[in-house]
Amino acid sequence: MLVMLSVSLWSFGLANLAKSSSSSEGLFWDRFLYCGSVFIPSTFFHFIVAILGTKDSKKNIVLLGYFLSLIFFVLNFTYLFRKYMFPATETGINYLPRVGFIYNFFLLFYAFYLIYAHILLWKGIKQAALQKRNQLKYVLSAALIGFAGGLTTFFPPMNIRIPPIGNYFVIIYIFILTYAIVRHQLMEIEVIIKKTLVFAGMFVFAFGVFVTITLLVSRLIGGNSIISLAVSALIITIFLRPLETWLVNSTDKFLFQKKYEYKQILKAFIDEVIMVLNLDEVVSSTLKLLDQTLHPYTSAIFILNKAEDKYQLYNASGLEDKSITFSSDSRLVTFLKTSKDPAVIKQIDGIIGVSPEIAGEMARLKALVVLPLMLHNDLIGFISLGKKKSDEEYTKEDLEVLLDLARTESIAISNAQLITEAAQSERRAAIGTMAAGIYHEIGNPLNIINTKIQVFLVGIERGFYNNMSRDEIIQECRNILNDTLSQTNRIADITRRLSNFAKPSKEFKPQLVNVPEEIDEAIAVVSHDLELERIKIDKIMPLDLPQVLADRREMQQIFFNLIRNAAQAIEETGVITVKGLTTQDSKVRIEIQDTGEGIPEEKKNRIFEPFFTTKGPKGGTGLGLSIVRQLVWRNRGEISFNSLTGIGTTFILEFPKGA
Amino acid sequence: MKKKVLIVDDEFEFVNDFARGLEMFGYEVYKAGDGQAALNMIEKAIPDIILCDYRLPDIDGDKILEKAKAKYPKMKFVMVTAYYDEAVENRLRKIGADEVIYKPIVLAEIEALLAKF
Repeated sequence: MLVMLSVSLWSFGLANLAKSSSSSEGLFWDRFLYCGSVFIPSTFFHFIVAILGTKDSKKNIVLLGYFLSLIFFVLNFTYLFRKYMFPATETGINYLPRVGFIYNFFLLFYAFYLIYAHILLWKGIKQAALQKRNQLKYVLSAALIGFAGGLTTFFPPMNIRIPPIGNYFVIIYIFILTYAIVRHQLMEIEVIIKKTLVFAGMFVFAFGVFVTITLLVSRLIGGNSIISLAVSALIITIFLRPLETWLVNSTDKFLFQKKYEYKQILKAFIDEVIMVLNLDEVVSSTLKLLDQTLHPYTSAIFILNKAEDKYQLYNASGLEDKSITFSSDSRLVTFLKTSKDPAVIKQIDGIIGVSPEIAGEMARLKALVVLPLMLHNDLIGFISLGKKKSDEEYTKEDLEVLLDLARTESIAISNAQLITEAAQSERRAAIGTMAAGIYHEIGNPLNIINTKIQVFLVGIERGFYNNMSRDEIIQECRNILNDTLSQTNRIADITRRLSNFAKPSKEFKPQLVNVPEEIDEAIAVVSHDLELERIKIDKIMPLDLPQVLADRREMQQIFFNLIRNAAQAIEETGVITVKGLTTQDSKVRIEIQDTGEGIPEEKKNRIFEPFFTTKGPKGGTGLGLSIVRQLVWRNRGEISFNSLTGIGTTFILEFPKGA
Repeated sequence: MKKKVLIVDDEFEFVNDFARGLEMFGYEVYKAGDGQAALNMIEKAIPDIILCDYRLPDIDGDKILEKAKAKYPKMKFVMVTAYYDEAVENRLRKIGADEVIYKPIVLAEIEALLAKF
């Protein structure tokens, strides 16, 4: 930036010098242009060592450069530097200076720094990696063209008379450099613009305050510069920091809205992903989002397989080998575990690049960035991101948002894992309840049929049918077969219900659901427990209860769990009332009321937590209500409850009316 | 003199068929559909043998077993159940069940069992 500033000061001065109409005006613009010019060698040298990354070793030479520039800056205003201006219209510039003897030293200084910078650049190109080499080639060629052109402006003062056509080369130089910056990420252009705007804003403010205060003070008190300085300093100190924050934010917002939006999208996603309960869905939606916002060539999410103690690729995009695993003592994993920081191949603003060994492991994933997924102090997985398709580098700002995402992702993944485990053990519990039902509903008819046939066979063997007429025997057989048939129908009915109920719901499929029907299904499955435990069940359903747009199986699960919970809350005998109604705001409301123990006051705010149970050590898995609530939410419903100790609990479900 | 057997079960059809089978084996059969009816019938008929379902709608079979054995220690008591549970079986034997059999029943086995009493 400083190079650009110097060059532009110089160009601006030169342009005006060319048009100057008098020697005094010419003198002014000539001095002006050298204000820029004297800094060109030092700033250019500084720039070169900066992009070569050799800033530290060449620090003294850089400082010396600025020091010399300052000396020449001062001398620029003396006649040692420039004796007088003379008309030289034939060169294309109206006035040219007749130089003083100091000017020769300036030329030496100029030549030394530029030549040295180019030598360094040349060496740098030979050593640099491919991508950097391309960048440096741009810089070198641009600089050579620029300075070759710029050089011609030195000839007139040296009494060599050629028109300074070379000036136009300087413009080409600026073009090439700008192109290199944008195309090859020589520097991050957005960051440069942002920083420049912020700096300019702050500078204008400070300068404005200073000038205003000085004017005011000199008007009011009469030119006391110390007071004006003190007052300005005070005002500037108070307001500069808030101003900077404001400037940073507003440049972000107005200038880089796209970039700002992607951060907004990521942030919005962070809020959403935490609600997702299915691990596949968490992972694939995250990968999709990263793909759409950052556009990396590759992205992957690895999750710890506790049993095998290794990190397995869960899902990826852009990677062909989907069987990649990382053992928990691999260098990358060890790095992530101990540092809890992202692993980056190349240095990003203060975050140091990883060692070549880790970089080698990251190369398997074609990853530039690997973000740890930490939960408490455990590494539960990691996200890897490849090079961006835009060729843009990952910035510190990217990493900040990504780390936020990673933090939430860890929680979302672990939640989904818990829910998966929970759903499995919930299913086992449900199967237990259903097993009792199967025994009762299938075992009993089987026993009846079985006994009937045995009795008939024993009767034949023992001659009980010997005295009977043919018609009597036929009638006996008809009775037995009819009874058998009705018992097999009973079995068929319960198997149909159970198979219908037990089918796991894999995908979320909303459809119009008739609530009373689903409640019947759920009651049919739970009722064997109820019957045995002597619980009466009352169902109050209006005939015109509207249908609900929801996933049928999930609705069954909701009712099954709530009715079973109600049954388990009743110790001896009791009543469960299931009531349906339409609320005033046209919602379908289902109340499931039990006459059980009620929920103790201190446990009321915890009942929806996973693994929380009021049922004591042997009752329940403690997963029911947390799952029920997630299912209700997923079906756009609300769940609440009232409970009075000793009187009972009522769970209230409300779903929007479907269609 | 025929031996008296009481069948207790809430499945009406099963009770009827089971009773017919036992009558063929030469027993005098009494029937009860729930726990309270069973307790009444025990007092009324004073059976020699009780074949009782474990799960009944009002009173569980083990309660009937305890009451019957308390008053009539010589009365034979066979628990009939659909659910196999070793712990439950052991407990039932401990509180006095002479035998525990499982549904679906096998008539021939029951004939042999009752003959031993």
